[in-house]
Amino acid sequence: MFYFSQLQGKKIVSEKGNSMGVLHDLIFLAAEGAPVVTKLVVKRFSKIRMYSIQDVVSMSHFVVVKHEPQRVELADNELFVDQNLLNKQIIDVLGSKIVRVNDVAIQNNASNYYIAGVDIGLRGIFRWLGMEPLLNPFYMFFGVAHKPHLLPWESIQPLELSQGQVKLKSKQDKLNAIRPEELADYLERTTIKNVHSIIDSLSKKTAARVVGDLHINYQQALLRRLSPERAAEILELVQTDEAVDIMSTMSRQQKESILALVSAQKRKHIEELLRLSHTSIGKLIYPHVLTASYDDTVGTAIEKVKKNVVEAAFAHYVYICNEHEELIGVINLYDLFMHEPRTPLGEIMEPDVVVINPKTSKEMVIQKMLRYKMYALPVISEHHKILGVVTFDDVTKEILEKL
Amino acid sequence: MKWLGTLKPRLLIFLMVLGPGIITSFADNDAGGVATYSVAASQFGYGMLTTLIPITIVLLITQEIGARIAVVTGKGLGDLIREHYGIRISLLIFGLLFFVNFGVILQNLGGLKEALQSFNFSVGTFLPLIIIFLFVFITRASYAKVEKFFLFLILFYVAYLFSAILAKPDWGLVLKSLFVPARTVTFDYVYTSIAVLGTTVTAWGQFFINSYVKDKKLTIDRLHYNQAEIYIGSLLTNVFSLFMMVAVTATLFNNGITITGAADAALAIKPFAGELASLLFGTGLLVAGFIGLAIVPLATAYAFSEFFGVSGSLNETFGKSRTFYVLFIMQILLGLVFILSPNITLFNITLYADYLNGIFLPIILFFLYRFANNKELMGEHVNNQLQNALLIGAGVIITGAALIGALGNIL
Repeated sequence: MFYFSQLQGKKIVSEKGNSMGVLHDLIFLAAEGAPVVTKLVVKRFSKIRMYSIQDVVSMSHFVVVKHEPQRVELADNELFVDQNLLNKQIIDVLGSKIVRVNDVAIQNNASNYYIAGVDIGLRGIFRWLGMEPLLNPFYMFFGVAHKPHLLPWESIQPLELSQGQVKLKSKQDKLNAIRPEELADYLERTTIKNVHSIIDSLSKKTAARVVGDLHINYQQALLRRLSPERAAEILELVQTDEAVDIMSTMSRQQKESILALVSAQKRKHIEELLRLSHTSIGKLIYPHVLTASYDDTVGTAIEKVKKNVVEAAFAHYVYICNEHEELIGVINLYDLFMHEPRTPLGEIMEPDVVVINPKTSKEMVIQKMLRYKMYALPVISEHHKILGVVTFDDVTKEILEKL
Repeated sequence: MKWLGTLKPRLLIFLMVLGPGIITSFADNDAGGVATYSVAASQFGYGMLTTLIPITIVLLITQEIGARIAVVTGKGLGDLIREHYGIRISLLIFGLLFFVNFGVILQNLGGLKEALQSFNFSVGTFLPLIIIFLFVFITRASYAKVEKFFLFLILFYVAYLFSAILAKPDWGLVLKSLFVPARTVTFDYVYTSIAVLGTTVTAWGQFFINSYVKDKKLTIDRLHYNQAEIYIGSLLTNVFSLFMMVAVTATLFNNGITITGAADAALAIKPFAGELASLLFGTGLLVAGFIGLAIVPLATAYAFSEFFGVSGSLNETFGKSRTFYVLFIMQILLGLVFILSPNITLFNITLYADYLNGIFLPIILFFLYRFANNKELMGEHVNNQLQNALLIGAGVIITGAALIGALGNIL
């Protein structure tokens, strides 16, 4: 195994001893499987030429190539080591963090040279200065491992590669394997154009989660770039309170053109929250709640919980409403499971519901949650209708941000 | 009327964008800045005011280009240099930046020390306390909160406005001096003008605006607001520089008193403008030193995390961005050791920091020029001809300035 830093700038000579220039860059195939080195880029008198790796006879002190090798062109799915990988930020998929490539490790077997991985450690930096051996005494002194910090190719995701014409099939899986928060974190370090192309390549569900984790400025900018159809698709999938946040700085016209494409139910929720968003907790209201009638049985309620557990992210409580849709009671999950399936809900519900209204202050909401040990509180309108819930984590997040 | 209808959302967006431009330009008037402006005004009086308009233009153009690059590419100057010029150049540039910034940190620590002394506070107690507060605050608070705190501190610069008023200057003459250059231009005058420019337009300022805009996560559709904010910041900073120089001129220059530092100025204006003016001037210096002490090491820490790919953001916890925060505090502590040791005179440090900055800045402007004109990076937001002309002009002036400065030092 050797490193790109040891290779770049090496003299290239032909078998007959003619100088061909110096090695400037390598080209590799970035499709599936091992990334095989296919071409070398040679610089001579500031002119750039590309030759096939097949024409290389040996690589040691010099790079020796065949006499008068054929010049070749860049093909599909090919990338440059120096131009596209070295010094760039990549995602370390296993470690789930963003790192910079200090050096590129190249391995050769009987028939091929291929990219073994990238060096992201201190050694990579010192190697470029020709001072790598200087590190050894230090590592020995501190008794730490002195191997290079290498990440294998399989566990990295160079995202900026997607800007080129390369369409990696394996990329999708790798991308979907990265935690959405990390991916969002990475995307915030690239251009909005790149964000756009990555989001486009993700599955709808992952895309929505990544968008949900992006900084609000990016969310807004992104949604404005997407077509109303795609924007509506994403809004459909992110949580309603987030959707409202994202739309808060759009013009009335933009809002309407997007909302027109969102499903009727989601639209109703969004519009309701948009209206409420001027009040103190309005933006935090999460509209998906589980409601049941007081003559429903425990069994049907449990079925309902099971079915809606994804949509109503806060299925800790089932709220009981009368025929006028007024809130009359609440049951927590624990009680639900402790009773016979045939029991009517009206018999076991807690009729004394702790409620808040859209004008309740956040501090008061927190106080109530702590006093009554509730993870979520129902928000009711002046007509006693349930508008949604405010959850503990949403309020604390909001308050933390103000600290 | 349609314009009125969109006024509220516009204002809202402007407030969201507010921060980087104003904070960076005000930090340019750090303790070193206050010292340079005070000394310049005490030597040349209103004659020095002519430099303010060109300085404003240079500051405005360089800051705008830096911020635009950050908004368009989502990257800081460190990121870009690393990705386009490789490891060796990156190491070199970071080494220089660290060295130059360390000088500026010493200036600010020195300014804080002098300001504390002028209030008769114990340096040995208060300086470490300030530093502990700074470290805890920077590591614990979120980006938004740090930013609000800086914006709040900047309000204290109004102190210079009041000390200028208390000094009872001839405002007609002030206004005239802004536009009409001094009648006799000596070598000393040119030399001092250059120092004034060098203290305002800085290498660290260029790094900081990029990183800070990036950390704020501004996006391209807010670019115009961002530009407006930067213009306003550059303009306001220099308005306060004006007040600073006016306060010194109307008292010290007009009475033939020369000074060697900012704290001197605060004490010396007392007999002419009264206790309050002196107090205000001292307060201004204290705040300037504090802002400089926070921002300059931050600029280095940001640059390091960009150059070498470690996590660095004010929004992250100490655990996640450890290198970033440790580097931040190490610089200050190292500076503290220098400042508290009695054998080092501050005057030399100030000079060394200004020269180094003057020599380093053209290199940074070169990178700025390259990135801002790179179509692949900037797309439609590449520099226009006017911006390029002004940037090159600024580069030539600053390089010339640095050379003259070095020459003056030798002769």
